[in-house]
Amino acid sequence: MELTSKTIDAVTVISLQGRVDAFTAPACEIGLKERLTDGAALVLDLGGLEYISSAGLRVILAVAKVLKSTSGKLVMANVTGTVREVFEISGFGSIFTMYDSVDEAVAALP
Amino acid sequence: MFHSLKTRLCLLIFLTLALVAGLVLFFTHRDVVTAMSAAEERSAGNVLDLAELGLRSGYRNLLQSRVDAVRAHRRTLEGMALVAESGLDAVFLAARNAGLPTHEAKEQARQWLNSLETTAGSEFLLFDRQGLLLAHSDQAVRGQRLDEVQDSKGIPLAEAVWAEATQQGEAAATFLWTLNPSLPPAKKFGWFTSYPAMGWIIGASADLEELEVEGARKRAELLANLQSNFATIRIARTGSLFLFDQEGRMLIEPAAGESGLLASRHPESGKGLLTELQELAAGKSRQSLRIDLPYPAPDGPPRTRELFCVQLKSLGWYLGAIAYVDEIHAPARELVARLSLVFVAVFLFSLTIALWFSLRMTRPLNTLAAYAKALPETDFSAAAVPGAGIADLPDRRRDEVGRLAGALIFMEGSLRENIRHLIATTASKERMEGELGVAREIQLGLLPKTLPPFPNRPEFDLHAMLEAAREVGGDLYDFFFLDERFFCFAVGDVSGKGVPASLFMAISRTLLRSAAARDRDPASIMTTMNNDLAASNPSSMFVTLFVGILDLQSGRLLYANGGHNPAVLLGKGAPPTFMTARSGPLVGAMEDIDYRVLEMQLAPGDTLFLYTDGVTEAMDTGDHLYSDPRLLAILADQYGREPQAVVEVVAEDVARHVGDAEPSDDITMLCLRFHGSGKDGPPGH
Repeated sequence: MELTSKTIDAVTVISLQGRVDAFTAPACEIGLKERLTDGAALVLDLGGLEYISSAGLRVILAVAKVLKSTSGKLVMANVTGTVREVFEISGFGSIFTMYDSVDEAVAALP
Repeated sequence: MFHSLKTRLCLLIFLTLALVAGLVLFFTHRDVVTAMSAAEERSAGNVLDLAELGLRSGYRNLLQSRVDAVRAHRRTLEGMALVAESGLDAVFLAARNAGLPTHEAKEQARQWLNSLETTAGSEFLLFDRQGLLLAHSDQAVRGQRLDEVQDSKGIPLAEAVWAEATQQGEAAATFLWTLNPSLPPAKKFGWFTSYPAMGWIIGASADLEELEVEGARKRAELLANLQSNFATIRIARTGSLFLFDQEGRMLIEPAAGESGLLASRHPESGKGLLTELQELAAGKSRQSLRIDLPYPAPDGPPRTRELFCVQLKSLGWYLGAIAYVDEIHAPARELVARLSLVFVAVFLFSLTIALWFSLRMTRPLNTLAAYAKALPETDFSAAAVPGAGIADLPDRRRDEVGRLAGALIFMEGSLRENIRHLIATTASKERMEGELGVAREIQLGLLPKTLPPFPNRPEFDLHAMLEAAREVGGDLYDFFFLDERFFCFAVGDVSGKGVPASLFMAISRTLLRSAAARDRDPASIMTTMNNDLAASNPSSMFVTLFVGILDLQSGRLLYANGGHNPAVLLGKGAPPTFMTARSGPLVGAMEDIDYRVLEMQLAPGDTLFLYTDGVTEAMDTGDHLYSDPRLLAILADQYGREPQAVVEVVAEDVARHVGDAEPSDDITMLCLRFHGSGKDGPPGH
């Protein structure tokens, strides 16, 4: 699991690569929370993500809760393949807004 | 033995010293021998030169005194001859004045000459042309002929003198006087003058014996002087000078033990040593002769001598010098011997120091080795100060050994600490494992265990299994009758694993039971559960859940799927299909979500297969997922089989896929086969 972040138009874009499963989820949670600022607008770019387990979903959920408590906003970009399947199965797709590209996601955020 | 540091150190020092000593001794010996030999040779040469000088000066003195003596004699004899001549003149003058006839005058002259007194050893003599001795101081020889008497060259005296004296007026000769048989033949020197008036030769002669004796005395004196001088001169220690004449007579003997020197032969050339020495002396530059002779003991070991020789031509003497090579080399040998002693002393001293030093160095090393060997038997759990037996080394030794000891003590201290820590950790882990074991039992106790669970219900068969990846897991399954007709079953998967998941699972299962007790709609059961779970969920945990309620009379199935893997339906004459419909998202993630109820009709023989993602996402050693297609494939020919058999087939296939890889997630399966209610009628109703 690798985690890279950049800022586009005051929007934090974090890219996740590799796998987020029960083993890498704790590191992923720490890495994500480190990059969070109060009230931030965050785009999670999952284009490079090969696999996400329920533990990974929990991490995203936890991040979303933190953002929600500080009036921040979280959207997804490039949710494809296996990850999209997992999102659909788990119903994550109905909780989070998903965009086809980072640019679209950034543009959609206020 | 060579594997000991001590031996190596000593050997190193020994070899170094031996090399230095060897080189120093070798070069010292070589150079000193060369230098000493050259010096001794020079000194022998100098001695020889000095002795030669002394000899020559002595000889000059000898010669001078001899010449002086001869001159004195000659003057005396000249005087005597002059007196005799004047006397004869006077006699003849008186005879003429007296008118005496010539023969009387001659007679008177002879008598006068005979009557002249002479000193001992000297005499007058008078002879005529025929060699007739007219007058002589010795009465016994008067009137005899001089024929027998010869001069030193072997010419008859009268003849030799007559010619010279008549021509020159005077002559000198040395001759052997043999005319008086009563006296021993005597060597005499004579001075002769011609007395032409009468045709006579007047002579005055003197005994040369005296002169000879004087010469011999002087010569003896010279030799005695030389001898005493030679006695004080030593070449090297006992080498000496010696003097011999042409015939090989030893004039001055060399030092003791060399009396047979000239008679011996050269062991190589075979020539007599006299010849060798004479040849040596005849050489232009000074050279020496080296020769091995078995003197002083005739059969003793040969001793090498160095011989020098010069010739004193005027005397017919040879001056020799003898030196002993072993004595020449002796100082070098002694120096080397002394040096060797010094080296031996240095050797012993250095070796002692090295031994002491290496013992001092290796003893603590041995102690450390023994200490290290004893470490495995040490009881590290017992409280003790680390470094028993070597504790004082780091302070006592500030060198590498001390540092090593310090490191070992530090190591033991760390070992003790780590082992104490390990023991504590192990104890805590054992306690936790024990607790986890109990937790597992409790957790498994929450799940229905009796399988097959309802053997007296012909409407369906059911089998379920749960295999936790750790002691406790986050998966759950449950089934129970809501009443005689409605049968509720559920499969869930809590996010994450281990204790947190298991706690969340226990809560979920409890909430399921309590919600199901109040409600028969799986969607509203799920909504209730979601709200309850999400209300107090600080760690954002959730559960994916499939809840189904089957009407056993009609085969109508109401179900809800909250983010769970789609169940598989095995129907008659159709391939297995995923029931992909969704009721809503994961349960517990967010509040206030309305879940949608889903419905389907089961025909007798239809089989439902529920599972968690531990099945489809089971990974092999290459991180490949088991995957949905493979699940469908293995289930493809399972229609009509017992639920237990179906579960076992899938479990075996998953286990085959996982192989040696670590189980990555909990695996849960539930299989329900509906038989229909019509065959035997609903039991119990």
